[in-house]
Amino acid sequence: MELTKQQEGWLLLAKKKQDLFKELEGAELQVQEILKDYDNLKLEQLQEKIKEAKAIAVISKDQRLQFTQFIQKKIFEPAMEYEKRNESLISSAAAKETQLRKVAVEEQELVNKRLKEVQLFKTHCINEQNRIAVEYRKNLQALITECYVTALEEKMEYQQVIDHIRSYENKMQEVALGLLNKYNRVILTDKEAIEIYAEVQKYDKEVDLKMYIKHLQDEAFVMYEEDLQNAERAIEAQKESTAALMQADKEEWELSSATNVLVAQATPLELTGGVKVKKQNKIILENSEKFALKVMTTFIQNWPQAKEKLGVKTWTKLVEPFVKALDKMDKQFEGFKYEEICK
Amino acid sequence: MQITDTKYYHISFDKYLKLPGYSYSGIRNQGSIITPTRKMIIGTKVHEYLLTPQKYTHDEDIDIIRPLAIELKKTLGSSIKLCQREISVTSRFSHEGFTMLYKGRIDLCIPRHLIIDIKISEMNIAKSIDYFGYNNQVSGYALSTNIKNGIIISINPKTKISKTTVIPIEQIWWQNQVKIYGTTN
Repeated sequence: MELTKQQEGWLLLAKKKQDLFKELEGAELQVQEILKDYDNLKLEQLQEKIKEAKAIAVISKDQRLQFTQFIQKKIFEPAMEYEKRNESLISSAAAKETQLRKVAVEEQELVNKRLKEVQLFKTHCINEQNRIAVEYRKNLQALITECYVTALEEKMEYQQVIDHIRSYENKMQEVALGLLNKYNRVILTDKEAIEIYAEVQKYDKEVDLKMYIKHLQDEAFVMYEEDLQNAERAIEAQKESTAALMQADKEEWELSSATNVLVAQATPLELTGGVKVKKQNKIILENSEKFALKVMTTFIQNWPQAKEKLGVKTWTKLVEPFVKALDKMDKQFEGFKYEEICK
Repeated sequence: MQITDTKYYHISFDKYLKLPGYSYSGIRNQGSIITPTRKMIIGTKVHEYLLTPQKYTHDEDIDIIRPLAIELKKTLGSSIKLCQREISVTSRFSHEGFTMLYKGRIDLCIPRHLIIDIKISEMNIAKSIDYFGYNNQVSGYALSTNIKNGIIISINPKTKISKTTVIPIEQIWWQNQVKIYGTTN
């Protein structure tokens, strides 16, 4: 059977391996022979024997290295190239996936921000309509109180009261609605804001105006004659009553507005899930002495929490490089135990 | 479900525990006494600092508690001044011929408008609502007080990020409890 070049190569490799192992075995036997009685040798003889054995060991190691480096270069490294290329491609794809996911999350965050601004803007519009209503009713009530109080103060007669009430009816007709407070939009355009505002139910002052005028005409002056008998106290009571009514109305508006705002800021229970990106802040590594010092100092300063996050299996592994450096400084430091090593 | 005979109490937590009635926690824990975990203790202290500060002892956990209380206060904004705190409430819940005495202790409420429940938890709020049934707890408060809106403000003690979630107010779970624990009229 004729062998391919590759098959011939493998056979040659097998032979080289066998030959090498024979050489290595031979060298090992030589070293063992040289050092067989080392326990009984005197200093100078022992030093000679070690020198001899080392020379053979070095040559043996070189022979081994040549072979294993050949295997490394011709077999291991080419074989690993496949997975390196796979890993590289997968890594690039994963980076792209993370980037796309990040974009998706950012887009979703923008959508959520927009939704939130829509909710808050709408709430602002509703709250403003309510505020304007409260303010308008307060102004109407103030006029009713003023009408009654001035009548009492001037101790008006019946016909005067009729004309007086009529003049206040006219004043009430002229009360204007307050202005809307501005909302600082960030995302919504003017057009979108106008559309949202158009959806909000506007306060209709006519209903309240009719009601308050009717109250002025039919109810406000019902006890006028009696109140005239103790005008001073009646005036005080009227003012107190009006103030209490206005305060109650205002408080109700505040409670309602606060509720609307909190609810507008909240997320509905079903709006969870979707694309997620796990975010973590990582320190950017710098290759400088200053950076190294800062890392070590910060770590020590935060020792109780930081030590829990260490990935090392033993304390020795953590400090080994530093211990080696300290050993090379040729001085003994306080607080450490030392052992003598002979070379 | 009909809700009647609602009464409000401004009492300490210990006195609330002695009130008659079925609470959400009582039903969920089946009457057993839970040994508070460290996390539960932290939650209780945050509640105390924010809602009943006159009782908070400013102990060694203040450095953990304070940032959480600050964040919650920021989330509540100016509405915190309008809120009533730690209101205990009892009501009669009646359904299909059965009546159960309910009791609850509300963290915060904007009177007649909003129930606000505060949770301190590392768990995602949607998951913990699902797992612990907090929506039923808030529904109980809302039904008892005839308040139409409820929210949970949750804060993660590790990240100190707070989140507000609207809770739909529903009767179904409580209707079932009335049938289990209620007595015939």
